[in-house]
Amino acid sequence: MDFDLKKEQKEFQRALRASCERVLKPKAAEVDRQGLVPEENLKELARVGYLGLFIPESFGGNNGDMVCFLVGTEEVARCCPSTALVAGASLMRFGLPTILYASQSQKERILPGLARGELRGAWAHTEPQGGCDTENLGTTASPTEQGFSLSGKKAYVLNGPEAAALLVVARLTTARAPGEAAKVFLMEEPCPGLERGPLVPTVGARGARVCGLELRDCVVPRDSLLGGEQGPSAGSIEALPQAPLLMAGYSIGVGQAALELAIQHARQRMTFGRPIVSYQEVHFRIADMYVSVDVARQLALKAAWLIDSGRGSRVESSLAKLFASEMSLLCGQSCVHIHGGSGLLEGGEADRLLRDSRMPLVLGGTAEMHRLGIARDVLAGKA
Amino acid sequence: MDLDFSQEQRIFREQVLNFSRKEIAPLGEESDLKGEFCWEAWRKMASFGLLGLHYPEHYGGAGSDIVTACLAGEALAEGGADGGLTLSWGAHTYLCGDTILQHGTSEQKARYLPKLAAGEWIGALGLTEPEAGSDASAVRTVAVRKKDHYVINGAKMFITNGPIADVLVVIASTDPSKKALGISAFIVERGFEGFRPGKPLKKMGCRASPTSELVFEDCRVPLENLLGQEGEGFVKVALGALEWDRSSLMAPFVGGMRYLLDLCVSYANQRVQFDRPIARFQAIQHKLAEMKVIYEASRLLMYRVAWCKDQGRPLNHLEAATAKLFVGEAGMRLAHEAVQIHGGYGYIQEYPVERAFRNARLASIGGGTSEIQRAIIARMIMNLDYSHGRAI
Repeated sequence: MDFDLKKEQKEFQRALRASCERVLKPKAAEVDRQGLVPEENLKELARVGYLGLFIPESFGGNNGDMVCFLVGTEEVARCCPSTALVAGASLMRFGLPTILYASQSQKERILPGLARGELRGAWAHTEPQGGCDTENLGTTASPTEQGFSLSGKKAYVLNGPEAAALLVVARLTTARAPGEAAKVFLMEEPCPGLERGPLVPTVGARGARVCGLELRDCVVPRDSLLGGEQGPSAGSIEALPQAPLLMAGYSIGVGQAALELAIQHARQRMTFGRPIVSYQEVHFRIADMYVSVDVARQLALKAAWLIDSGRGSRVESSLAKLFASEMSLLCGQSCVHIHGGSGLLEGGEADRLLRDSRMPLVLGGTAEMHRLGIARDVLAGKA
Repeated sequence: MDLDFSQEQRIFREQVLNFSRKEIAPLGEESDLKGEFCWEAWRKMASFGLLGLHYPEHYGGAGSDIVTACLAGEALAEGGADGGLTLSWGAHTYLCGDTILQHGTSEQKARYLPKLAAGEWIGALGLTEPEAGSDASAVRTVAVRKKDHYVINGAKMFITNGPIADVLVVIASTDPSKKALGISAFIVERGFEGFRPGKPLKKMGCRASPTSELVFEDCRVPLENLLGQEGEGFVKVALGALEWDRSSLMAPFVGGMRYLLDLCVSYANQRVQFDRPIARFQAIQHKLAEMKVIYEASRLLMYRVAWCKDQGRPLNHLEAATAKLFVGEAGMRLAHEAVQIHGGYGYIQEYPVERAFRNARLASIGGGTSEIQRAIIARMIMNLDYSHGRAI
């Protein structure tokens, strides 16, 4: 048994933290206000190796492990949640399926740019009518002579406005069984017939831009079908044990940032002649924040470690994400509350963190979907 | 990072689990109803070797590491051992036995540990007083040094194993003017003149674990029964014991969570309402998911402290307080949901969830309330010097 991180993991974490504090943090408020994550943020994350994690060295990555991804995502989110979402979604939602299933030539075209922070990727699954229900998709892919023709609408695509490459989920019209129908298509620019809708303003992580997509007889080559005929279904990619750890890491970073900000404010703010941190009501609340961040981190580290040991468990990842997402909102709220009136001011850091803390309960599967998945395994005696 | 147990540990865990299911769990209901300590279960645990697992072999233990000792506590409860019994086990093994192991002279260890490990003698820790709970430095029990012995006067309160203990580690002030730094620890034997335990207190839960007051009236304690040095009784001995109380003593509470979760799964699969097992209702599924999250988190926090101890990291108060706070609070939520899933059957004594619900209540009180844990955590993460006392 060993609860400590490995030496290399600690070094990675330290280097990344320094870099995030130097480059990302000073711009975080501006990123939120302008609604854009600048290129130099991604370049910096590429430089310290975050964007090369689990990309094989032959494609310009550093083959880093899931524990590094988790602690890394926390560090990025702690300094700039929007950047964590943009980079994390590129790497986890787009990059990982590409690494696992794309062809050699697709990987050669895409992965080096991803690792260098020059290419943003997107995962386009959710539709205006539904999200988690993969079997009832409106977007279709019909075989043509050259490949496939895709038609339909996608909603709330993270990195949608900038992504030079996208994984688009569509229902294969020729599939034999409904369960096999939802397939993934790797689309690379230029994509005639793909139209990106206007930016959709969001509650939090506003620098991580979101838009809808419309596909009108968008013709893609045959090899766009990720992994070919035998390639993975969209559901199996959504069910990867790695997937929930993006939002888990993000939530932990936001929770940690809210905790630190709350402590800083509570030490400075004076009432009745003493700092408010000296009141039990305030420092007990901070203790609860600390414990929930710590618990979320332990759960997520365990899930990441299981993946690195080749025993990834969806339930363990799922419960880490579930706990972390609830924790992040709790910390966001507590931080605002400790700030009192000043926490309600638009443009303040507490206000921004509260907004940034809300989305994990929804993105990457709602808390309810994760509970149902956990319960399914618990009831089946598998967990 | 490596969160696996060794193969040896896994095998041992299975053995304890089977032992608990077969030999110990069936005895729980009756001893709880009667509110009596179960000597039969105790003797079985002694002969299985569970009473001094981490003591060195020459003191009658198995020389195991702390993680293994926690695995035993967890597996006992997971197998359905009564919460009162496991509480007595914890107070005996850790609060008394381990405290002697950590601070005792070799004569003291040789005299007490083998008997404790064999279950011949039962151990207790006398720290809390009627007027001094978590503010343990405010103890009023005093020990006055005479020529060849100490004389102890005072009273202790809520002492687990008090009525049945043969060996008690007792905290008393040898120099009240020095407050916390004037507190010392003593080993008191049941037969010492001037010592008597009070009557068992009637409790909400953990009823099979006898609890009482301790009374010291000119109790004569030989000089060689001073445990550690004078003045170390609070800062070293009691704080060390509290760290146990806040960590490894939680192992049975964590095992009890798994026990409840298993009961709920099988009940939810069997119980049919509106033509389907209630397991098919989302509300029940969500409760089960919450219970699973609580259990997994509690387990990690508890083993983290055990692992820290095995690494020889001195006093892990932050990790211990975190584990204690979370396990105590979340454990009550889990027990609440377990009763809720069982509905009316969860409310009657024929079903073990009723007892487990009452037993779960202690974890956020004993060994320092949740509020004390928050104060400790706040003080440690922010270097506060005003989390206790007047300034609040």
